[in-house]
Amino acid sequence: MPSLISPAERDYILKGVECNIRADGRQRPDYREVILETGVVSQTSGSARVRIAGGTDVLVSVKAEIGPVQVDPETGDGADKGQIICSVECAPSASQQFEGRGADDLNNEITQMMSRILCNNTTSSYTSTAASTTGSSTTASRQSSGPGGINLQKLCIIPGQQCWILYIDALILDYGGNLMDAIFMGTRAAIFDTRIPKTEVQDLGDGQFEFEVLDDAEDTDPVEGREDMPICITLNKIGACHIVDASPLEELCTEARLVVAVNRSGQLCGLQKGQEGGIEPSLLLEMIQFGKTMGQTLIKQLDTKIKAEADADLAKRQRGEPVHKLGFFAQ
Amino acid sequence: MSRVELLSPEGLRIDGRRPAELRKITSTTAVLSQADGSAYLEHGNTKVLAAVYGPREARHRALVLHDRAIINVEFNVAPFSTGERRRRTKNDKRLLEMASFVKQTFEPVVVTTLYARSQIDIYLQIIQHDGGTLQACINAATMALIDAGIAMTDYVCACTAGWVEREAAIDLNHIEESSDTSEVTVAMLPKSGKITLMQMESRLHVDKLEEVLSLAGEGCKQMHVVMDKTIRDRAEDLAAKMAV
Amino acid sequence: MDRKRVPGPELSVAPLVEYPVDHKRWTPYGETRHDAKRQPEDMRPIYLKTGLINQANGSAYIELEKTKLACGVYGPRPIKRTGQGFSGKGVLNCEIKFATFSCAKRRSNMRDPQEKELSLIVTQALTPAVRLELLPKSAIDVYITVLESDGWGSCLSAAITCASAALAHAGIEMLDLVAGCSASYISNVPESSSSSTSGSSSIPPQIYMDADLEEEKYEQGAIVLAYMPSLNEVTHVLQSGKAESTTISQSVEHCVEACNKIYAVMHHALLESINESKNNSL
Repeated sequence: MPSLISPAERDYILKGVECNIRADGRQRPDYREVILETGVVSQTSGSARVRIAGGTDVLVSVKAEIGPVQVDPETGDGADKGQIICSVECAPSASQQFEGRGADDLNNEITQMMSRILCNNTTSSYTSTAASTTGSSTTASRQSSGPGGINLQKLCIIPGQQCWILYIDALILDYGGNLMDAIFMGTRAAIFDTRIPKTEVQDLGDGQFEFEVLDDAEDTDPVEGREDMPICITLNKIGACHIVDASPLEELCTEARLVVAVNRSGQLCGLQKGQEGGIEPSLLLEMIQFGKTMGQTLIKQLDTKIKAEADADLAKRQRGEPVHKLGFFAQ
Repeated sequence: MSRVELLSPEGLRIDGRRPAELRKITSTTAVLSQADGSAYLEHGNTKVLAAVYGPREARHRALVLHDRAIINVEFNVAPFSTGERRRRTKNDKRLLEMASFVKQTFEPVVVTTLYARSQIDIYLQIIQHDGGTLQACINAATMALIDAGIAMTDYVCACTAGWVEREAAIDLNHIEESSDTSEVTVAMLPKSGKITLMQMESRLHVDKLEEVLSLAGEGCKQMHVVMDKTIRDRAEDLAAKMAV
Repeated sequence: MDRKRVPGPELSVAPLVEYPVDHKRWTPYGETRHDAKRQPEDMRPIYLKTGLINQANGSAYIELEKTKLACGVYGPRPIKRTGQGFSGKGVLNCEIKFATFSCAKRRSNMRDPQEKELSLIVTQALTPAVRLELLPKSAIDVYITVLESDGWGSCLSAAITCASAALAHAGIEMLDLVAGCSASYISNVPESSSSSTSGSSSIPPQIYMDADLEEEKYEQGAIVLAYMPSLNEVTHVLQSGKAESTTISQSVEHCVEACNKIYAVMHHALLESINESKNNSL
């Protein structure tokens, strides 16, 4: 798909946006149709697939595994908290420019953005295969639930020793513009779908603890604090106006892109500008407000849909019918 | 570890199949918007997505052939595809080896002389891994190539076969693969019966080889039926849309 | 086995520091900031000087009390690989590197993903200001080395300021200088034992301009802003942590004011360097 755009097309899109008509007939604040399904990958603790009409296809999976706690050597913080580790991968099938090492920069950028918004620290650590954990030495926030909203203290099994680590992996299968929004919507849905097995901790005395993971498929916990997870809205500035949910051609015309992460109660959990252009401060504040209102509406709609799906699945299970997931067969 | 019984006394395998029975196969094509051709294949619990780009201008001028197209295959395994989460680097030796197998499988089948000086890219994405990934990838790649409209002499259908305890069986799943069974992957062209890929890593007694291979051939023919149906359905669908 | 190198032990842990009993750790619940001389809206005094690196086309060195950065600019010089094809505009490459001794915990000398992301942020902050359309087929390389880091936000904003001063010193045509500044939101009220997930205390957090390392440990959120004063354009904004939109609007305004002050400092430093070079050539 295009990495170049002709001046005529650029002009067409620019003038169209000014008149509030976009290339596919939408208006500036209109979103494309979104198809969302949870529970598509069976070997994970939770998963979701988001498909935006027009091409973007993202698969997000959450795997809960047990690992040692990470303690900050200076402050002693983190001994009673679980961890969240995010990673994003653009499959080469998504676009021509992602072949080989082409996607590395984009992967890194999106991963860092995700970690910043979902995890607990401003200088986040990202485990890669090349280097071991690059510890964040500068900050250790003192809250139990960071901007991501997820209650990390509930993820701890034995304070100081073992905790649950949630690996959030996003896989971008198809690129049709507006990746960040799709990834965050998918993450929110996947976390809603995640079930963590219960553990039983036995105190052997003398400070020694032993724990056992209960293998009951029915008796699992959902993730605490998941309603407060933020989603993000990407606003693209074209000319003097801003649009939401850009297609690939529109993304090539944007001067500046603002990613606004907002949670259910209207608090802003993250703000990042991208692309190589400038924004006036007044326009910036206006975009932030717009993103915030739009984000809250989107969260409400998303939640109703996810809840409806979960209820339908539960009803089917109680009736004894098998639950079929459409996965890729959804059109 | 307790010995897992791979073949019950009645002759049923661990997931209730007969030895010569394939797992449930579902597939669909044209799932991606950016790729020239794409296919999604579900072989039991193994889920594979294939995308084909091409023929297009070659990335590296040095590798271009003056009279043919070059085929480039890239594998990508999702970190959540196996039971435990594990990230794999792009240069994992095993993945590179599988990629070269797929490339060698398709080189004689795709009519590369029609597309001189260009490159055909096949990207395979493994979403879930439950045994038989190589066969699923080859099948998905065949359908994606057909969906992209690239000229081929025939379908390439692949099937694994092996010797499970007392009998030859086809389409081994993950548990059977990881126990001590010998496994052969065979890719063949159904019309002529010619084999383009045969790969085995374990030990198999030469007396049993013929039975295993003929069973694999049977499995490939069954695969061909399923794949053909999907492609024809899609073609009918498109024709119906164009007729209006 | 690698016989050419003598590697250190595979696992090394920083020693635990035992503070004396009477050592008081700073907390925001008191009246003052960590640096008692400063008010919440005060920035640290900036020392900015250009011409540090002779070999580079342009260079600058900045100090914000404990944060120290050096920046060198090479360019415009021809692009090495023309893999991307011809483009009518030049290319700006920024690379930021933390020295291994710059943070409390030793950093590796390979570039880690965090440095790559910061490099991308600095590039995005500077590109709107540089007139790249006058330099086709050329690349401008900006290399920033952080010698000591006292607060992540101040590091990033100092990097942006320093890089644009170095670009100006190199004589590259720009639309305007870019000034960067950072702010943190810190709550003066100690957290209650029952931390409710929805909505923190109703008292909005205090905005502390240019927070240093100790203060950042208590922050609920931070914002870094890069701004071009003459054009009145924000070239980069990065906010993390939870905050209400009113707090963010306020902090954006504060940051814009602070950027104007930093702009004056940059002007002064550049004028001084011109005078110096005039005196030297006489």
